[in-house]
Amino acid sequence: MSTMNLLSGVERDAKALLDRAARMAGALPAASVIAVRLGRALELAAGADGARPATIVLLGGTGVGKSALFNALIRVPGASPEHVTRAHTDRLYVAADPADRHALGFLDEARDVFIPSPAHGLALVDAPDIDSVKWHEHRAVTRAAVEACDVAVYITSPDKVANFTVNEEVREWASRKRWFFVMNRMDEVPGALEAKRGEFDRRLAQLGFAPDDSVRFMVSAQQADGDEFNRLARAVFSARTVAQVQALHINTALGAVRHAVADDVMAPLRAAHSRLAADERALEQRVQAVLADGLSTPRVTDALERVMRETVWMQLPGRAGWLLAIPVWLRCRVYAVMSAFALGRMATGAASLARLVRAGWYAVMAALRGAMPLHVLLSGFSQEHLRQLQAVRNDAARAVEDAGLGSLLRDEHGPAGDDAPSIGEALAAVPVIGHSISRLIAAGTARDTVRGQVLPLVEAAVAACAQDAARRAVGPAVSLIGNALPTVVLGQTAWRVFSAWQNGRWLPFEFYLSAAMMLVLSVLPGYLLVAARVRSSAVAPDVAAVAAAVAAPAETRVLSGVAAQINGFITAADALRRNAEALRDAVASELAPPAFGAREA
Amino acid sequence: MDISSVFRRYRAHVRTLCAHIPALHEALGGREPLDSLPGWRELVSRPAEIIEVDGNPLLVATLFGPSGAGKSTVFRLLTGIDVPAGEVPRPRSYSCGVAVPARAAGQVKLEQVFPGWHCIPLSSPDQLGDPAAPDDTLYYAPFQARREAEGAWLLLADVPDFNTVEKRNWAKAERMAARAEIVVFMSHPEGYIEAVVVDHLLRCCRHAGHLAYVMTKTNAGDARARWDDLLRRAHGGLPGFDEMRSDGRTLAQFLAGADAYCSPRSEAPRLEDIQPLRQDAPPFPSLLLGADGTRILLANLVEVTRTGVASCAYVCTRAAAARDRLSERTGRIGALLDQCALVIAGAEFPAGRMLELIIETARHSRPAWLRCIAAPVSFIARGVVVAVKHARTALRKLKGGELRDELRPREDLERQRLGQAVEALATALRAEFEDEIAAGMLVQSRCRSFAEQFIAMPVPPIHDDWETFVRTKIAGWAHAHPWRNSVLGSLTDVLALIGGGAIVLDLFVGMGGGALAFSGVAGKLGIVGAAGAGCFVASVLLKLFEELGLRDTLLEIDEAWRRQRALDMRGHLEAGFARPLILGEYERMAAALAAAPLDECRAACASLESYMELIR
Repeated sequence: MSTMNLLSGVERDAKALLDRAARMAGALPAASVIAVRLGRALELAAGADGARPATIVLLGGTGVGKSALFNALIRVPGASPEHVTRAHTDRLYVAADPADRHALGFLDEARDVFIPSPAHGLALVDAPDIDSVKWHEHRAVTRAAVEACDVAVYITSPDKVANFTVNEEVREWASRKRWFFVMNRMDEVPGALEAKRGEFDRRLAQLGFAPDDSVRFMVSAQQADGDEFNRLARAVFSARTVAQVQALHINTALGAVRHAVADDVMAPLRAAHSRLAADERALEQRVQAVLADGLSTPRVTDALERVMRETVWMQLPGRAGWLLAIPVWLRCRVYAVMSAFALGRMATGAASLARLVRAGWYAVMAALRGAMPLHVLLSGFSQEHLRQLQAVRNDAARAVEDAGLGSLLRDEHGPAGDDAPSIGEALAAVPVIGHSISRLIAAGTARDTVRGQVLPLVEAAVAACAQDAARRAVGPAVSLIGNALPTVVLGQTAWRVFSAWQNGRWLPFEFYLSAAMMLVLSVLPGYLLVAARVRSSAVAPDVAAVAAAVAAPAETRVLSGVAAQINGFITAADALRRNAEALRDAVASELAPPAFGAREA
Repeated sequence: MDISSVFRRYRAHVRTLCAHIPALHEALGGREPLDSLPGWRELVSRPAEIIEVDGNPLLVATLFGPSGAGKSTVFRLLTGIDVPAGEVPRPRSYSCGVAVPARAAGQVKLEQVFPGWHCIPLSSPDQLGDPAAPDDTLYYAPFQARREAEGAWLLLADVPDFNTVEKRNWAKAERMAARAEIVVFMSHPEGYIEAVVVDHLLRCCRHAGHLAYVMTKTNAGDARARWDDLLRRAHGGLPGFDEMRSDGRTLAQFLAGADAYCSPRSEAPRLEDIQPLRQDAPPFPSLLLGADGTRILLANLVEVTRTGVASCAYVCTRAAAARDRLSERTGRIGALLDQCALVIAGAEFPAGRMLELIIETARHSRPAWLRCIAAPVSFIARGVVVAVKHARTALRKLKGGELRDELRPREDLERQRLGQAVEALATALRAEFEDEIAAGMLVQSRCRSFAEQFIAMPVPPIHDDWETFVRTKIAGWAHAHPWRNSVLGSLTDVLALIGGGAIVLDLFVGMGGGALAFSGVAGKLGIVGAAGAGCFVASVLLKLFEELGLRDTLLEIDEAWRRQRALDMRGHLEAGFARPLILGEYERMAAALAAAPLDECRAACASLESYMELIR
């Protein structure tokens, strides 16, 4: 896969992220910064083919001799006018091959000065200073050029090497560009070359670079025949292939993408997400505490134990085995059997409305047997519980507002009305005494949470506990003891039948009747043993653990929605940054520092 | 004019401002340090008195400028004190160095001259180049000054730069510049138009009593061209230079009046190389030494005071505005509380208690003969009521249910209403005062914490005044309508008797289940007020009372209830929720603003203005 294809993948992701950033821009200033930066990065990516010349911009403070150096490099005296007064350069001076002129997107024909140059595939730009009293105008012009350039040449002088404003500007661009470093005006401090070189290297190291002789030059524009000056000129005017220039452009575009999602702009988003996540956890714990309290009432506990016993019984036929399984199975399905019996009676005898109702009633009971009664669970929640859940809901919305993300809330839940309800209206909407608890619940507050989240968890907990309880209640020993007597009875009966058959005589009907009764009676002790074991083993599940398992309850949905939105954005931005960095590293191997400048260490 | 006495009075007013402006600033919630107020640092850094040696004032002259301008070199040339200077590295100095005239050194305490600085004798040049030195350290050394007879004593200060990556140096430089009466502004030719350099030059023009400008490392021609360029730009629209000084000049004019010098780049610089750019300017070495100390001191004082006093007046204005704002906000919160309290009080009514009071008063207001006749019936009825009460209690105990207070529903309703009121109030406060969310006062966690504390508080009890009012009104009605009152007073006895009879009948017929239910109803009628129960029973009785001509009385009772309960609820909401959440903080701020004597500060500002006029 070619580098351009890989770049198009990053471009696609960047466009998607740009859309998301634009949507969040109203609430998060950092998102709008990202959107702007991504927009610029995409523009650079769109022009990353080899048609555009490599662009090198001279960047520095006022009075460091940028114009003199520019003139000396292109060997056209006065091309960029020099003057004894400072901040003289107020536009771009661009030296390039006229054939490349159309590809210089940053060039303002009405303002900037184009200087024809024989160096095909290279545009060298002298930019205004960034620290003079005219910095408002000058910096805008310079920044536009630096934004579009591939390589920046940081120029300073012995007196301004520690200048704060310029150092900060270089730091701002450091990660996005390739760099050459020049200390000009060295003719003014002839005896301090090595000391100044050491100081320059130390300052550059503080800016995040690891300069060496291939990218750092101590020169004097007034002495354009010096060795270091010639090395600088060779570095600037190095021969570059079309593929290398393309790689340089891709490096620039990827640097801009990386910058768009750099730590400085992502930090507020991460902070906002951390804050929302912490709030969400705290509110979730409050909901869990309310639910645990609601599920701990005696009525709910009783219901849980009942359901638990039924569930254990449902699992026992297989464990009881052999003849004992029959009464256990019948106990679990008594309503189903009754229903079937009633339907059979209607089918074989006279149908009546009473029988129909009875059959329906048995069918309903059979269906509901062992099902968790929602109304009982809900009954555990008092007015106070509902108030607390409503308070959590309010707090979730307020937490979003506190984080300054109220507009995201409105985006999620539609536009809010112009007029917030007055206190009178807010209180008038409150349900009053006399409404039953079930009506209050039906009105909305807790029902969703209890039915949608608590109920499945309770059911799962009951199922798990029941399995365990069934194992404890009926083991092999119980099965053996329970089945021993009926087995003996059945064996005895079978022996008698076999003996009679051998002797060639028929046993009377009373024998079969009494044998059947004996079999039923012989099963009874085993059944009672199982019932006793179930009663002692079927303990209701720990409601606190059930409540603690409730995640993202409806009460915190507003907050979790916004947090998820931001988290999704952060994840996408991180992925984009990783992809851009990986691709940039790959491209960097094609760009040798002596010809393309150094990158940030 | 006795300058010393003027200065003493001047200082007294400055001390007033120094004492109270910080409190006002803090009460205003000033997150920025006081030093960020224009002129404040200069105002407070003045010494407490004019310090004179041999009858001449002591002036502070500062060598101020960007990195690489040659400040330390010139300082060394002027004083002979060895300080770090040279090309490498940048910056070289990290602390302020002060040269004190040898003759004055024994007569003045430097801490008086430089309030807030820790003054240490300079024993080695390396001390000035030590980045680890504390920020308030000032090193000093004596030098042999060539003072002219009428001139001032000059303390020459060499300060670190303000434009390099060593940001700690900036504050030191600015602090020393704030103290200076004379500023020698130095710049290398490449830096004279740097934004940060011009910005600091502007500040010096604003405060200095005297300014000299030295452009170093350049020849006279280039220096003159650049100086002219600077003046042209200052006059031609550089922001800030059109500001007026107290002496009637703009800052651009003041700059133009400054003595300008230049010095060439040299391996071995000399003081004589510093040459004036204008013919009429004095030679550089004598510029500082022959100065008219009093004039410069007063000029500097006027400029410093002008800016500082303007800032103080601004703080006073803000304080007054804040006071009004707090008052207005407190009013808005009060309105919200009123609204809440009215809604709560209007939403519930102690019908049970009222009925109880009406019936009780009606029974006691019956004629004596009727009371005698009804006494046995009343006795039996009371017995029935007590028996029913006990039966209900026993039944509830058997069922395992909790025993409810008869008046519990109204309290429940009130508590529920208060809970909702707190939520609505918090929402309303957050909407009204959005800035307080950002300030942390109305954040969700605080609102919740105080709301929960409030909900846990007991509901205010019913006021005795209202019950007295009800009794008085009903007694008045009974007096006006004795027959109706007799009917009403006897009604409950009859109903209770019916209920009791039903129980007896039911016990004989059907084991008591049905009659207990009936007697429950009848019993409730007997103690209808205490039961305070269902809306149905209450509405039937209210209709009955209307028939009895009690309608207007009931309306008055209702009105009295609302009025009084709204007051109770407002007080409860205010004390239990609004005050801890926001009102308390507002009241504390208002108290802090009220404690600072705003009028005294304003008077001090006005007096200082008048002193400035006097000095001018």
